[in-house]
Amino acid sequence: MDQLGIMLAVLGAALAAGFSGSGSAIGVGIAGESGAGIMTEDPGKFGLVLLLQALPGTQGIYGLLTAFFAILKVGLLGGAVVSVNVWQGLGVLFACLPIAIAGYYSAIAQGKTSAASIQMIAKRPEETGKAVILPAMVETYAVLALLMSIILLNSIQI
Amino acid sequence: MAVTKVKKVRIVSHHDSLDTTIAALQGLGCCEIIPPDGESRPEGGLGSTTPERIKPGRSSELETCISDCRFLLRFLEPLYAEKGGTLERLLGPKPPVTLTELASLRARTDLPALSSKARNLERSISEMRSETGQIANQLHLLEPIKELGLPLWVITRGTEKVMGVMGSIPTGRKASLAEHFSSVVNGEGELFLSSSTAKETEAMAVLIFPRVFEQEVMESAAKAGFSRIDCPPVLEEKPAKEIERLAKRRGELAEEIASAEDEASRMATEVVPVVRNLSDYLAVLAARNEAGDSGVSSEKVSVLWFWIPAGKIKDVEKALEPCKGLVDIYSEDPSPEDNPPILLENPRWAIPFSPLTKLYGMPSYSGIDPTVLMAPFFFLFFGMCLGDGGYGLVLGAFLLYALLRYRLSGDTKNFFVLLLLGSISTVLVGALTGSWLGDMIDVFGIFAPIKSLKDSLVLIKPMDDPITFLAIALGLGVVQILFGILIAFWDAFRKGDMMGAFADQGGWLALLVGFLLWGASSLGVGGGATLFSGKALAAVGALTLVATQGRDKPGVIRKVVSGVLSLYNVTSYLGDVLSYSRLLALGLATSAIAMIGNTLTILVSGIPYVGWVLAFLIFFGGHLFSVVVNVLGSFIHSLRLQYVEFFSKFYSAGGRAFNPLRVATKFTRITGQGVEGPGL
Repeated sequence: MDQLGIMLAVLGAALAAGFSGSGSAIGVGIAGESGAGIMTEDPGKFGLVLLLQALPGTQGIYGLLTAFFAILKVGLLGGAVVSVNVWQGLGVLFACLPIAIAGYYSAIAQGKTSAASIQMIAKRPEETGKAVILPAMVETYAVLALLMSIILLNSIQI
Repeated sequence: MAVTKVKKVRIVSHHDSLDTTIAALQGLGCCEIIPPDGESRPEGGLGSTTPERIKPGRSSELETCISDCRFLLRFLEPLYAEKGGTLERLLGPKPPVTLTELASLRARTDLPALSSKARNLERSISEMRSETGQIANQLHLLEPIKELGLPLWVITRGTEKVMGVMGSIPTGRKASLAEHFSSVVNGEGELFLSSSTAKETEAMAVLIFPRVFEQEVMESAAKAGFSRIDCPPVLEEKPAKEIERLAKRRGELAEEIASAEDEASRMATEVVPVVRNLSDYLAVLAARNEAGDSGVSSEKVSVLWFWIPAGKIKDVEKALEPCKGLVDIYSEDPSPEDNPPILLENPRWAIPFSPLTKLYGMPSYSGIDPTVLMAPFFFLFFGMCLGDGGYGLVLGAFLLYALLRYRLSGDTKNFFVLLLLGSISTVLVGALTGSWLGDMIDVFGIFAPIKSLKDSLVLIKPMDDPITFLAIALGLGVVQILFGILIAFWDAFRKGDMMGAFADQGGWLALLVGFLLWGASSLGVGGGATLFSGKALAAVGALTLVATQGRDKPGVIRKVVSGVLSLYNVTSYLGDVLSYSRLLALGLATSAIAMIGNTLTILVSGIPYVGWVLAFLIFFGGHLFSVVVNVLGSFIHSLRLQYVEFFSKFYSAGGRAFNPLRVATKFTRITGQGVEGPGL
């Protein structure tokens, strides 16, 4: 049954990296489409647009981070081999869910906000500071989910 | 930490001294023009004479020169090779020049001639480009029918009796077209079909036939799917010959374009530096003109109004000393209806943080400047979010290099210094949490000698003990939020709004501190006294809020209901405090991403032969990526904590930034007489 425990943890890691990565891909894509539209008018905005496009990408990193934590926890990344029972494996799986779910949805929402912010800097480049803060408001919830995932992973005794 | 007091200043100048006066004020760079239609502008004191230009005609000539400069720069700058690269120009020091040099440069330069030469060059290049485009289209059209043995004038003009049409036909319907055509013309016409490969869906067809059949031929051809394409009338000869001619012309055009572009590049090298200097000079003159135009003139004098910081009035008086007798200065305090511009005045250490305040919006004239209040928090939060000593050093080294290499000024410099301060804070936090490029010192053998040094500095390891670090983060949040309420309390008190101070802010302060004491005693901190004082404070706070928060509502019941409902706001304070947990999450994320980089480096280093190359790439690439992503995240999130959680407690923007008449140049630094002043 040890194998099942480890596989559950692997499933958790896969969900964390897979879903938040997908969300980020969609979010960055939405922002990128908007950015490309702006740059047909003014290619000089590349730097700003890239900055705003990159913002919904952090969820993917958070997911990857959680996934690494999860497989590190069950000893798949080198180090001593640990035995993981089914309950511990399930625990790791559940602990990965906050960032998998919130990462997916928040990245898409943040992508839309970034796209709107990109439209904003097209007309008012002097307001870049405000344009960057709006998508960051959305990211808060991904940060909170990441925090919860890490705390949960940390609290599972293996 | 304050908004600078400004005065409304009236300067009356004789026309003879007006130019000198305005030039002197521009050199000082501390006087903002109050425009003629501005609300803050009092009656001119000379009746309502309409403003007139000081020297008619001068402005419109200046406008033309400025637009010439703009055109020249737009056309030539992309072709100009910057000395030392674009970054050098953007960040590097601007070359110093004097106004006298610029004036003689302007006298020497025939701007209209340069501009018309450049315009001709631009026009001819664009015409040649468009001709090249047309030729490409014609070649594309002729290519499929190059084997046609008839001259093209048969199609474009035809003769009295015979005409031709060309067009496209779906490949599969060639046979059908041939059939239709031969049945209509009965051997009197000629059909040319271009050969096509299996992949092509369209072929070209040329139909030559007696003019009398025009209608029938066209109708039957259309049925076969033929769609007519107009042959450009310039094409006369046989297609093969035309193709040869067009290809030759295309080659010639390419050469001509290249030579015209060469000429433009040469012109750019020669002209761009001159035009840049001129454009700065003209901008200086235009600003002076605008200032002069803002005045109200009588026969002998002009009256100008300015906003001037109170402390700078002495400088203005001194600068106008040479015009004594011709100039009169009178200043008064702004009245409550005025909307004076905002100039932030901060101690030296807090100046790098002022761009953050500007980014949010300037405070109102009677408001608080939050720069100093926010600076320590931002410093600490940035460090906690980035939280890795190694990354702090990398960021710091980069910024230090940029600051030393390029002589930055203004808000760009402030911003770089701000991040440099942030990197210092990051190194401190990194040292205390033992994170140097993640766990680099622990996992790579070569760092073993300094491991004990690193460990001796460590106070807390967030990776092993996230809960303690979380408590620290939330604790900082409580401190900043209570501090924000205190500022609001003081602000209301200062303005004499006792109800606002004691009821609104005081009530919340008592309630929140009471809850905190209560909670502390339940965790075993303090004793019964703490518990009692906590409960008492909370009760006092809650009662104050219930009693006062509905005070604007009519009727006792609605007052009480609004008062009780206001207590619900406690959830927003709770949410605000929890928001500070990002300090832990982002700090952990930085260390963890760095750790992943190190782990992967070690994993791939075991691969035979190429392992060390991969390890090298992953180590440097991974950490570089991590620095960039995390610096961005740390900046945005520590800024957000200031804007959303802290500013919302006491700060309202809405001021207008001070925008003085000054020597605003883009490309040069103007030095010398008449423009050097203490500045701002």
